[in-house]
Amino acid sequence: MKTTTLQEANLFKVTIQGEVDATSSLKLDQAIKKALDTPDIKGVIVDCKVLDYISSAGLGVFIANHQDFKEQNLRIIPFGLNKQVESTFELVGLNELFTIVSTEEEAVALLNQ
Amino acid sequence: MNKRSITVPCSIVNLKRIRDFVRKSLKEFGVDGSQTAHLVLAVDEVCTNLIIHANENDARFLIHLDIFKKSTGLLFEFHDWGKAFDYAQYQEPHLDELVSQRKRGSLGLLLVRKIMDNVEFTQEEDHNICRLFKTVPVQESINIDR
Repeated sequence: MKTTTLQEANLFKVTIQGEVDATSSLKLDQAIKKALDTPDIKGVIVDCKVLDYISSAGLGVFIANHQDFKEQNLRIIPFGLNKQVESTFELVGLNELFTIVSTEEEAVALLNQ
Repeated sequence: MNKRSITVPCSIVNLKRIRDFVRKSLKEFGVDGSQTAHLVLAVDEVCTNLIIHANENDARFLIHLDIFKKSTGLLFEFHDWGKAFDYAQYQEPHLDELVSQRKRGSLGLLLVRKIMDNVEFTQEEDHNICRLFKTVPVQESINIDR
């Protein structure tokens, strides 16, 4: 798995590439947590367009960070999930905890609402 | 043969190898792609638990997986020689509790139970066996036997 992070205007963007499992989830956690230390942003959008696979270790990263982001009034918006990854999110109900959208434009618009 | 097997050292670096083995085996068994994705996930979760919790990610120990093609579906059988898991004591976690406790773990077996039709953990004399069964359409064996 590879992650890249980018700060754009009022948001933080994390791109995940490849497969997230127990070997790589800590790296994803560190990438998403960077947003908590970034001033003047509304949240983090997570580009999952090239995310091929995610196990519970990766889902746990989204769950474990939800509260800290909420307390700082920041949102986490995953977008571009393939069918299999989206179905994995749905199996544990993460689609109810996070608003998942299809495109980056939708994610940015949602963050700026 | 209606069986595929793999043995790997108990190290999480081998999880991808196990996933690739399951994908290949299920393709040979003629299992549908969307079913395969969930089954790969369930196997990954069990192996992660066995490697990390039962065998402390110690590559001196081994984990063995057999996949059997049955007439009504697939049986996944995991053998390991680490600490036994007491399934009777297992309590399914609630998502809201994991969120408030900021917990990254505990979801693996929940996923396995959602995906599989039957989940069982037993202890033999010298090792542990986990069996997962999933009812799924599989191809007739003629073209895939080797």
